[in-house]
Amino acid sequence: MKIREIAEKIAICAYCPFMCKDICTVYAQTKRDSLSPTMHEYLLWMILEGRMAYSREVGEILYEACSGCLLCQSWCASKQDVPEKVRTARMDLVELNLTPQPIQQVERSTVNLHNPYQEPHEKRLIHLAQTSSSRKGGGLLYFLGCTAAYRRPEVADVALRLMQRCGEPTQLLEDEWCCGLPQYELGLMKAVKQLAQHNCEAINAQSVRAAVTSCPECQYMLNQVYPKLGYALNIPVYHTSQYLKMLMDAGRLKLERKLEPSTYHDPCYLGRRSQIYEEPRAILRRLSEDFRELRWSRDKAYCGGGGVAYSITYPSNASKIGVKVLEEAEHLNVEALITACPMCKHQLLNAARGRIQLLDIAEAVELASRP
Amino acid sequence: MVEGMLMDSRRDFIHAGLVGIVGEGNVLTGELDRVLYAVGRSWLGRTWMAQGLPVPKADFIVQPETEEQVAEVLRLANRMRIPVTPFGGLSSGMGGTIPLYGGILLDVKKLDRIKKLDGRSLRVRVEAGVNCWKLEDELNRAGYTSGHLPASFFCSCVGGFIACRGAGRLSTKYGKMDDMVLGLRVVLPSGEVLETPSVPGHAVGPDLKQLFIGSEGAFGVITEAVLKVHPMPEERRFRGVMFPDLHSGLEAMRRIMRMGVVPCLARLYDEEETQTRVRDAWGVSGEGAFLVLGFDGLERMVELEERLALNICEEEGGRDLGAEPGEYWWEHKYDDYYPTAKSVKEYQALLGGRQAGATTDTCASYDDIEKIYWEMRETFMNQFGEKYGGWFYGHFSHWYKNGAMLYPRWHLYNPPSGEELVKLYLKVWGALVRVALKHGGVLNHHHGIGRILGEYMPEQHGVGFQILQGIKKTLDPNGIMNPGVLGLS
Repeated sequence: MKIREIAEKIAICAYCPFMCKDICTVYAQTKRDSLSPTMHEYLLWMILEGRMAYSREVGEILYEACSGCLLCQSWCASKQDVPEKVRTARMDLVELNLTPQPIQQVERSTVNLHNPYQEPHEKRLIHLAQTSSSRKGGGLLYFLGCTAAYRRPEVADVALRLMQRCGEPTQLLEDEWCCGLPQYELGLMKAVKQLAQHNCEAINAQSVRAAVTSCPECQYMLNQVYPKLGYALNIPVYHTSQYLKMLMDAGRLKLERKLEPSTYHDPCYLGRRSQIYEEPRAILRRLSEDFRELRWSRDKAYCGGGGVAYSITYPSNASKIGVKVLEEAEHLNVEALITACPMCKHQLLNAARGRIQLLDIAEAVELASRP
Repeated sequence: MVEGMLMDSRRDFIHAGLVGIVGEGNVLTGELDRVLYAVGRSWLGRTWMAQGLPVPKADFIVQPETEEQVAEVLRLANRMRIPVTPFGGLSSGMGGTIPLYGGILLDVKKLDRIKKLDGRSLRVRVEAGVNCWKLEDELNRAGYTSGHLPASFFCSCVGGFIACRGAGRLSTKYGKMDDMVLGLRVVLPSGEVLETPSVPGHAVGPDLKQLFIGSEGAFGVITEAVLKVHPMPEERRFRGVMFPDLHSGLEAMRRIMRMGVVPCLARLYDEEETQTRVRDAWGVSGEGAFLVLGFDGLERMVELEERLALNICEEEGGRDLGAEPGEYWWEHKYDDYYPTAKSVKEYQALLGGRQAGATTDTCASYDDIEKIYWEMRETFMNQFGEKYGGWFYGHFSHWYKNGAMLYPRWHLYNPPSGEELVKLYLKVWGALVRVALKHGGVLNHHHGIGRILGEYMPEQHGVGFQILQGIKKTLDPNGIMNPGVLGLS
């Protein structure tokens, strides 16, 4: 059992008097105590002690219990990484063939279609507007990601359009596969390695100086996880917020107008995992003279919708997670809620149902920079 | 593990009834859910589990979303004579939510609406499942505070802390739950809903709400409360004082309270806790007994109260350590509840049912509380600590003009295993609470009775216990509500 290697870390959470219980994104949504960090780690502790055994029911709890948002760590005085412990247990469950059905579906979709959404691989680029898809010959690579490809292509379109407007020739990978983050969270390590190897070889074969992506999950995976798996890229991977700020700082991206009062939602992987808090704010302060912070922001920002893996495997829970972000935004009485992640935008849009305007940061920049 | 108590044929029938009331998604019947809800984080439940002893489980975990659903569930349970254990944030260590007789575990946490904040009359109407942190966060946003900041801040809920007469860190000024509740809505076992007046005072006979505050689910299910709130203080400041010994600290606090100065925070640690926990968690060093003091309100009042209190501390031999240790304590007030790698061996032993520990808090007059502290300590060390290896320390953290609360904590490193361990654990409890009773103290101050202390309730109340039994019989003639809790049958 892989969890044996982290037995002490599991004991720390199992013994904790529920200090992150109501902070936990999934628990706060479901109010089911078995899904609270202390209780599912206690379950793992009992497995380590031989009082319980891995089973399908254990699998159902451990997959439903964690969206991977890492909000718990921001409140934890001993800085425990609960998602990492859950991920380790999920690797055991995969090994023992005890994964719930939605996880098996993601695995099949990954193997057959190279994305977790069960979408045709050959249609990965088809949703992008022709005017913005620059396939070859750019100095910059745009890593599309599955959510922008299949759910929110407008996010990628706008980012690509902005790059073009700034004179940045940008190309896409002809045969991009899922970055592997959803599979990584689900403990599907065999699939993760295949995806990482493919993307790493494909990216390193390009003659570009850097890559840019709108997806914080992709950026985290490419920058931080691939090297740990032995697949290091030979170029840096920027998030669009970082790159757009660089273009603004260099005077290559001019703003023509100010936006109405707005606020910003920190995506979990951009903020807590990659510690990118300042660049989006630097941009948004230039876009609006009335930029307002959410009550809980930066490392304590609520999760916006559970990430790709959780939204696919537990869509009913995930669809309600963003409501708290929307309520906080409504308290501020702003015109727009801006985020920097296609998945966050997708989930918040679904939860918002027209209550507030939702924009990706590239869309906000594009609005303000229209001649 | 002990299975749920219902026969299969009844279980299916009742399950269908419950699903009809709250919907399928709000009835949990999985084996692991039932085990985890039963075991919780109580030492008793976890030790049963770790030692392979039987764990009593509910047949159903039911999560109603409305008060009407609670009423319908109780009507069904009453008709079918099924035990109902009301269930809140799972923070209790007293075993009050262990479903000893199976049946329905009624989880109120989906009753989670903050219904109305009345800033003019300083009150808020909330449902029973509202989490403590969430409530305080919403109140703070509007410029108010509940004044209730317990250790269980991030997991407990309104219904739970009312049902157990809970208290938080600021209780010396803001009171404990018995003081904070203005009115209650309670679903009785019959399904009828009782609403008490939400007024600051009355002369309309005995105060019925107090019957349910601390009732631990024995008389009905609390579904809604009107709680007092307070404007956020203009000023809040903290101070650390080191006394030469515990006695001088106690005397200083008695005099401060007598004078009418009311600190929002006052925690006096005995010498042993000062030299261990206080040193490790808050970095305060030095011999003696550490007192952390806090004052809040109008700046001028805070200034005056702090000065008066520090004068008394000085007269009793206390050394003013300045604001820094007090402020640090406040900023890090929850930190030492987070387990760390440093003490992981101890957690592993506790999780594995190889060590034992608990808190036996009590309350008594100023003359009695110090006697209780010393005799409890002596009793523990002589009867258990020396034999099984252990420690005992305590602090005093809820103060009144007429007395104070003692919060002793004890731990055994090398107790026996299996059923002998559980027996020993309960024996330590018995020995220590009898010290409190002997000197005019109470079985518990703010955690409740649960299932651990029920057998001592007749000793605590005398003929009063028969009155409680009579009330139970009147309100719950079929005995469905949390049977066994508070020692009531």
